[in-house]
This record gives sequence, structure tokens and C-alpha cells, in this order.
Amino acid sequence: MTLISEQQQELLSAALDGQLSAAEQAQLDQQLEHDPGLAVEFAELRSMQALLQDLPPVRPPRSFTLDPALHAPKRSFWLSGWTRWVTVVGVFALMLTVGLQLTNQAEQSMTMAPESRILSTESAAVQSQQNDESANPVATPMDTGSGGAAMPTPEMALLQQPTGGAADTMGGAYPPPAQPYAAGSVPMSDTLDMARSISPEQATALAGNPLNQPLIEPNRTSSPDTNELEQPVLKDQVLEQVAPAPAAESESSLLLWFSIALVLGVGLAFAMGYWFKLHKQA
Amino acid sequence: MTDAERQWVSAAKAGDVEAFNQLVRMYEGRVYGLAYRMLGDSDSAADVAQDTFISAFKAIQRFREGSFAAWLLRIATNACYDVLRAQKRRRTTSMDQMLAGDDDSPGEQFEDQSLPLDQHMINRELQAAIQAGLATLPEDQRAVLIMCDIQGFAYEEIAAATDTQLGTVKSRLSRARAKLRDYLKSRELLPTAER
Repeated sequence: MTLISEQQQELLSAALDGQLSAAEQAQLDQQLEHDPGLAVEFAELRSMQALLQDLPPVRPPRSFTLDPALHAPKRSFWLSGWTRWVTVVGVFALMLTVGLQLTNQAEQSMTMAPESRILSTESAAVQSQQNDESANPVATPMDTGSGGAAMPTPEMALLQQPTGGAADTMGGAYPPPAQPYAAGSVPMSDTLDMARSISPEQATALAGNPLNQPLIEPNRTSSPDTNELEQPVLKDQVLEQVAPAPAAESESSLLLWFSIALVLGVGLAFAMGYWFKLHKQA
Repeated sequence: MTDAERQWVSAAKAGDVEAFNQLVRMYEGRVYGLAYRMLGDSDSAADVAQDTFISAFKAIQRFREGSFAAWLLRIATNACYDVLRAQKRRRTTSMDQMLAGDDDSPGEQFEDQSLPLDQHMINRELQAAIQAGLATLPEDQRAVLIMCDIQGFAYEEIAAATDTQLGTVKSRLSRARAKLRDYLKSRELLPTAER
């Protein structure tokens, strides 16, 4: 038996499978002609390969097909294509809606806070005035003629308009000043709403009406007691004009943040879904 | 890969078990044959073949391009390696059982039952000797030899199935052939060389 190198062995093996180039094949043919041992080796390998190739195929004892009932992928509701996306988008849309609603409510409560302070101030002032009137009932008609009933604010003027004009023509016969301020008769919030419904032009026109002149001096403090009533109402008017701008900015900013959260949430949901799917398949 | 195979693979990726079963029917002979030649035991080979197809169906999303047969045989080869390692740990080999006269001899697994009795007996003895010779080879060389000379795969497919380079395939194949040639020659089962 001729000992051949491993390199020659690989050359013979490759020649069996026809993997040699033309040059390599020519070189091997020359070697086989001049080396009988190598030729025998090559013939034995060829015989063995023929034996292996002639082996009959092995018959499987059974079929290996998969049972669809057992191996069909269980597509859960959450992992199925479009329902997953509809669910994700729906959840974030719901979050967006609820978030905006809560934000609006919070902003409304913030803007209403000064009004409540004003209302409490007004209520305190009215209460003190009522106390004064009850304590000095005789002086009340005289005071009301000079300024006790003079309404410094347009809403007060509006409330006093029907009776104020008549009172003037009747030479000082004034309606009971406690009536517009009565806690139970006209709610203070209603008077504020009525006053807000009047435009500045209407308020000016009302103030310029001769019938209202004795009663309405918008920029004049008619009595020391009315000072407390004038200032908060003016502040409230300023607040009403300024407040909407920051609220709009805040709302748009929140909308932007919720949009970013929506995009990030959808991306995160997609990544988690994809990872879970791969993990499940692995 | 044929067009039909591509369609079945695509459908299987979409979860169509029946389409995957078409691939199973196409390749179950080769997969089982590889497992049987590697393990020498029909029960273990059947288990490996079944596990191979189940694993392939679960992982079919990872199959991109190339030879589906090579991808399938790679799964089967790895499964065979696992079984062989487990057998070594248990210190029992199915080949010992087969050589001891177990009923589960390789000759009973072959399809060609139409030969004359004497020829059938000769073939059965030769086939048993070849199977025994294969069992003497290292696992990596055995796998390459089975795929190339028994199942007829090309070098490139074998390289893909064994996750090795072409040079490694050639080298393993050369050594395996030389060892099996020596084994069969020592038992005078190799035909006389004529040249």
C-alpha cells in the first residue's frame, strides 16, 4: 500500500467529484500514469464511492408532516396585524382625548380662581354694607343719593338702569340699595355673567346715558366703600382679556407633547410586538 | 430552489401548515436518511426527523435565501449531534445494539426488497458494514460523507448545511473517504481495484 500525502488524498477526493480545474486534472492524470500506488488508491476510492452511491434510499417509518391543529400558529388578538394597530392607536387617541379634557378642566379652574376671590371680596363688601345699612337705617337713603347706590361698574349700572332713572326723576326716591346686593335675590355670578355679555361700547353708551349719569361714574370713586368693589372687577376684566393667550399656548404645547407621546408609544408598541413575536418563534 | 418550493416557503412563513407539509413530503426522505446514517437507529432517526421539521416550521421566518434543503439539513445535522452527545453521556450507542443483532438493523430500512434472496443478503451485509464503517468516523466527517456520497449534495450546499467553508468540506470529505475505504478494505468488502 502506497502512502500518499494528505494533499494528494484531497486531490484524489476532489477528482472523484469532478472539482478539479483542467490544469489540476491534467497534472493528476500524469501522476496516476507514473504512480501505480496512487492509481490503486484512486480506484479504491472510486469503488467505495460507487458503493455509497448505490445504497438504496432509507424508507422513513412514517410521515413527518405536521398536524395543522397542533402546529398552526396561534395568532392571538393582540398579535394579529391590523387589530393590534387599531388597538394601539385607539388607546393613544383615548389617552389624548382624556388628557386634553383634563387639561382644559384644570385651566378652567385656574382661570376661575381669581373670580372666586373677587366674588368673595365682593360678598364681603356687600355684607359689610348691609351691616352698615342695618345698623344705620336712617342714614341709608341720604347716603344712597350721594354715592352709596352709585354703581362704579357697568354691571351694576345695568342692574340699576330701570330703577335708577326713575329714582332720579322722582327726586332722590331711590330703590332700596340692598336689593341688587341681596344675596338671595340676584346671584353675584349672574351679575358677572351679565356684565361680561356687555361689550365695552355698550357699557360706555350706558354710562353716557343721561338717565344713568347720576348713578354711573365708571372712573370715579363715588364713595370710599365702593373702592373695594371697583378694583377687583377691573382686575377681573384685565384677566379675562389676557388669560386666553397663555391658555392657547398651553393647549398647543400639550397637544405637541401628546403627539410626541403618541409616536413614541406606537414605536414602542411595535418594537415590543416584534420582539415578542421573534421570541415566541425562537 | 424551485418556484414551487418558494411558494411553499412563503406560505409557510405566513403560517400555512399545509404548505409546509408539502416541503416535509419533499424532504422527509433525505432528512430521515441523514439522521439514520448519522445515528444508525430508526427510532432516534425518526425522532430527529420529526424534531427537525417542527423546529424548521417554528424558525422558517429566519430562512431568507439559498437552498432550503441545506437549511433543513443543517437543523437535522445539529439535532443529530445533540442526540450523539446524549448517547455518549449515557454510554450507549445504537450502533452497538445494531451490531449485536438487534431487529432494528439497517437492512430492514431499505426500500429495494425486489432483489433475489442471495443478492439481498449480500447487500444487507454490505449495507450493515457500510453503516458500521460510518459509525467509526468522526461526526463532522460522517455528516459530510453522507451528504456528498449518499445524498448527492454539492459542496456548496454541504458547506451551508454544516456552516463551514468549502475547503473544510473538501478536507473532511477526503479524510472520511480514506477512513471508510480503509475500514471496508480491511473487511474485504471493497471490490478489487481494476486499473
